[in-house]
Amino acid sequence: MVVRGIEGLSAGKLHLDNIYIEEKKSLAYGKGALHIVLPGVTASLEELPNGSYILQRIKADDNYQKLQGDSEKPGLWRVNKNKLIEPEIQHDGMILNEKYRPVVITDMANDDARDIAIITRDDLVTIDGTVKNMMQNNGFDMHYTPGGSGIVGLKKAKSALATSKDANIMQSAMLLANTMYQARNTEGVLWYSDWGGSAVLTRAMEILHREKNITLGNHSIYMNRPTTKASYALELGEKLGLTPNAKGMKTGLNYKEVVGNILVSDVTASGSLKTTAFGIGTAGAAFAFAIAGASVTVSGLVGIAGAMFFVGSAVKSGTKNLSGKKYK
Amino acid sequence: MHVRYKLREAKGLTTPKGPSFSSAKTVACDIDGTVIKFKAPKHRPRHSNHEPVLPKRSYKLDDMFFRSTYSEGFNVSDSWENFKIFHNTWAFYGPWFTGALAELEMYFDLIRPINYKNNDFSLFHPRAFEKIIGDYLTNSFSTFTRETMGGKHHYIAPVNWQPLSDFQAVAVRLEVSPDVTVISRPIRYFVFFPIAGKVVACFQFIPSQFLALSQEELDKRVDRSTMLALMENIINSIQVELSPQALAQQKSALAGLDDASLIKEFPPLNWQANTAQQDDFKGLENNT
Repeated sequence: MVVRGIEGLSAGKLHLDNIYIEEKKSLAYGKGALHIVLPGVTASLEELPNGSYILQRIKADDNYQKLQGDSEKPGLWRVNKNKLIEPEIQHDGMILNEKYRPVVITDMANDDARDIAIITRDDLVTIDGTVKNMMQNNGFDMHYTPGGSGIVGLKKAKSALATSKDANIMQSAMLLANTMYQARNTEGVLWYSDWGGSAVLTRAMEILHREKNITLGNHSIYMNRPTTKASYALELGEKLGLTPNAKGMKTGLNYKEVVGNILVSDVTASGSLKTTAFGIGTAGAAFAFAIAGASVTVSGLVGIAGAMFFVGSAVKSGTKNLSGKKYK
Repeated sequence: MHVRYKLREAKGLTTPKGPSFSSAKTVACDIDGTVIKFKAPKHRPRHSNHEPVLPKRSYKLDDMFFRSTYSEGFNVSDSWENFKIFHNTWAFYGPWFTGALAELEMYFDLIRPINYKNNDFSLFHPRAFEKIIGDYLTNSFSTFTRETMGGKHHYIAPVNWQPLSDFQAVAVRLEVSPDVTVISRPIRYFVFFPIAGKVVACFQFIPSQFLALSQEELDKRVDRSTMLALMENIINSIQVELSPQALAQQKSALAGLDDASLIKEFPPLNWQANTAQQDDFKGLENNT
C-alpha cells in the first residue's frame, strides 16, 4: 500500500486553489476534463453529469523524475560517506535498508542538492557520536525540498495549497510520507529535520497518520530548530509509534490546522484501484471529498516507473466510475 | 564591502571576492621523506561548522590508515583506498551584503589502487600512471548516469589533459566536466602525481556556485573568475621533492624507457561501452 493523494479531484468544484490540476476544459453544465499532476504521476479525469469522475489515464511523469534529478523538485537523495562523491537521486523514494539509518529532511533552499548535502553533513555530525559514526561509515539519506527561502510555520488547511510554495511543501510531504512508509520495516531510522524541514516532516506524518495500521516502530525523530510547532509533530509522532526526540521553539502549526482532502488509494497487482478517503479535522472536514470503496480500473496503458505512487507492477485496462460524494 | 552577511539578494552578474592569495601560508607535509608543499589561504568556510582537514608535519606510509572508498548503496567498486591529508573551503562573498555567493573547495588526498590482480607496476612509469588515472576516473565518475535520459553519463573525463613538466615525476592536470545537457554541476579540477610506486597524490578543486540552475544561468549571476584565479595560484605553488627511495623507485621503473613523458592527449574515456557490460566491469579492471 502506498500513500497517494488524489486530493486535487475536489478542488475544482470547491473553489480551492489546487496546483495539481493542470488544465481543466469546461464543457456544458460546467462539466469537463481534469488533468491532475501529482508528484511523479499525471492523471486525467473526466467529470460526468452525475457528478462522478472517470479516470481516463494515469501515467508516470518522466519529466518529474528529470526535474528531481535537476534539484528542481523534491526528492530523496542518497549521500555518500565521502564528500567528494555526488549524492544520487532515488526516484523510488527508498532509503538504504540499514539499521539506524539517518534521514535528513532539509529546509527549502535554492541551493543544489550537492551543496545542501555538504551543509547537512556538518549539522548531522553534531547530534551525537553514534550518528556521526553511522554517517562516516555509510553516509545518509536526504529528503530535499527545493524552493526560495526557508519554511516558517505551517498554514491552515484552507490555505495549505494557496501559494505555489505551500503546494511545494505539500508535494514534498507526500513524497516523504511515501519514503517513510516504505522504510517502516527498516529498524531504527532517524528522521532528522533541519529548520523548516520540520514542516515537511509534520505534514508527512499527518498523511501517514491517516493511513490506517501504520506504525514506525523504533524509528525516531529529531527536529533541529523546528520552525513549526513541535508539540503537534510529537503528538503525531507518538501516534505513529515514533520515539520523539525534539527540541526547539514552538510556532506555527496548531493541532486543528490540518490539511483536508487527502485521498489514499491502493493499487493491487490485479489492477483494481482501491480507494479510501478521509475527511479530516475541522477546517478540512467542510471541504473533505470522499471517494469510498469505489473500485477503479484505469484505462489505457500504465507504465509507472520508480514505484513512486504505484508499487504494483502494472494497472490493467478498463474504465470504471469514481463516484463523487461531497460533504458540505 | 564583501562580507559574509546577507541582507539583500544579488542582482545581475556579480564577482564575488574570496581570500587573497598574498596572505596564504605554506602548507607542507612530509610523507616518507617526500615533501609536498603548497600555499593556501586559511580555511574560511561558508558555514562555521564545516571542518577543515589539516596535515600532520610528517607521515609514515606504512602507518597511514587508508580508508576504502566503497560505500553501501553506491555503485562504486572497492578497488581504491584514500587518505585525507588536506581539505579547506573558501567562501566567496558578493558585494554590498549579498552574502556568500560561491565557494571554492580544495581537497588533497592520497589514493591507492588495491585488489589489482597484476600488482607488478610502478606509478612512476608513464603508461601505468595513465592507466591508473583512467581507471580512477572511471571508478569515480562513470557510475553516475541519468536513468531518465537513457543512462547518459553525468560526467566527461578527462578533459584538458595537460602533462605538467615542472615535477620530478610524471604529473598531470585535468578536468572532469559535467555533461551540461545531462546535469548541472561544477567542473572538477585535478592534479595527479605519484609519490610512491603504488600511491598517487590527488589535488581536487571544486568551484561551486551553489544554486540549482544550469551552468549558463549560473554564469549570468556569479562570475567564476576569482575562484579560478585563486585555484591557479594554489596549483602553481605546488612543489614536490621526492625522497631518495622514491627517486630510486622511479629510476628502476623508468629503466630502459627512452621517453618518460606522458601522452600529450588523453581523449575522454568512453564509458558507454562499460555500461553495456557492467557485470564484467570489475573483471576488466582487475585484469590490468
